Amino acid sequence: MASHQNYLLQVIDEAGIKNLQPHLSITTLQQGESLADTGKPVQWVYFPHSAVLSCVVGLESGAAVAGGLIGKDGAFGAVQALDSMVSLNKVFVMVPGRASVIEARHLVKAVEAVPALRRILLTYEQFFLAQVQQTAACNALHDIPMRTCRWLLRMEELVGANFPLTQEALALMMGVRRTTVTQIASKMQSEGLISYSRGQVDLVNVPAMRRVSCECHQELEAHHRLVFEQLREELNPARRQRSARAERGSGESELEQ
Amino acid sequence: MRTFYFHLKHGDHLIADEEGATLPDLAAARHEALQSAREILADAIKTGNPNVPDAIVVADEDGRTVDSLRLAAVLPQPLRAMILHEP
Repeated sequence: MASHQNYLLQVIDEAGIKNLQPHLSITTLQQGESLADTGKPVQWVYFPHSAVLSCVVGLESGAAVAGGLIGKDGAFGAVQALDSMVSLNKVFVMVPGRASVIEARHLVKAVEAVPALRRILLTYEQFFLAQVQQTAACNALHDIPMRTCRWLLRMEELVGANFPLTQEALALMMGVRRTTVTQIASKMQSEGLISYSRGQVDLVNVPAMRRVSCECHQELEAHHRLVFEQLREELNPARRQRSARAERGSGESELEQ
Repeated sequence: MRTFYFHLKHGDHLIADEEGATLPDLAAARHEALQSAREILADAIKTGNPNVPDAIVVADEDGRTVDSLRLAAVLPQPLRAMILHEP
């Protein structure tokens, strides 16, 4: 089922929430497509499958830095739709692909009818805020090779080890100039970590990249697991009982996921 | 608008910029090279990385070199004078 290609839709489905499904449709997003702009209303909410979205903060000088990536583990526009209706920053499609999409007004109605839906969307928003905070610390204190590995590992988590990525997009993610990316990509290539050609990245040695990367990627992975495991158990009593049994050592129930 | 390429020269080896950047004119390309050289050198100093390019070579769409900027040229002036014996 298509909705299961997005983790939030999977959690929503697992909690037995059905009122979103009739309003969801699937769309294909093009590389570079703009989905939201600073201060502009958010009319659509996106749940990416294979697409990756980047939230970008633009500065007066024309320079810009990405605050966070949204892929199959999240959504863009849910909280904006529920609250202010405007976007805080620019959001564009970094990796093209498919996404489920719903009109903001339908999402608002669905949330009013089912409070658990708000819980799920706010839990993700909390994770996204953690991602942005981690990124602020990482950009300020970690060196460029560490940060490059960190972002490429995040991409791997979202779309696999081989994906299209321009040097310009990677520079934007890291808040550096494109020439710095040319330099680091060449170094990582000669060290056998990645293969990079004509806008296509192949992560050839993920374990080595994990060693080079700062802790930020793993911290966020752990944070995501923690907040969502808790939420899923709350929303699914049956799941809670199963994991309690697994803890007591029945062993078999661990295989079901 | 024109496309400029910013290659990195390491001795007799060149790391090619395959992507290029679209900029208004040569002055903008020179400015980009200058800012890039500053960033690369600053990061190398900060992290103690000795592997820095000697120069950034700016080329146009036809592959012609239109500018070349030595990294040492972006050092603060007093240091540059000491190293390059420039006044």
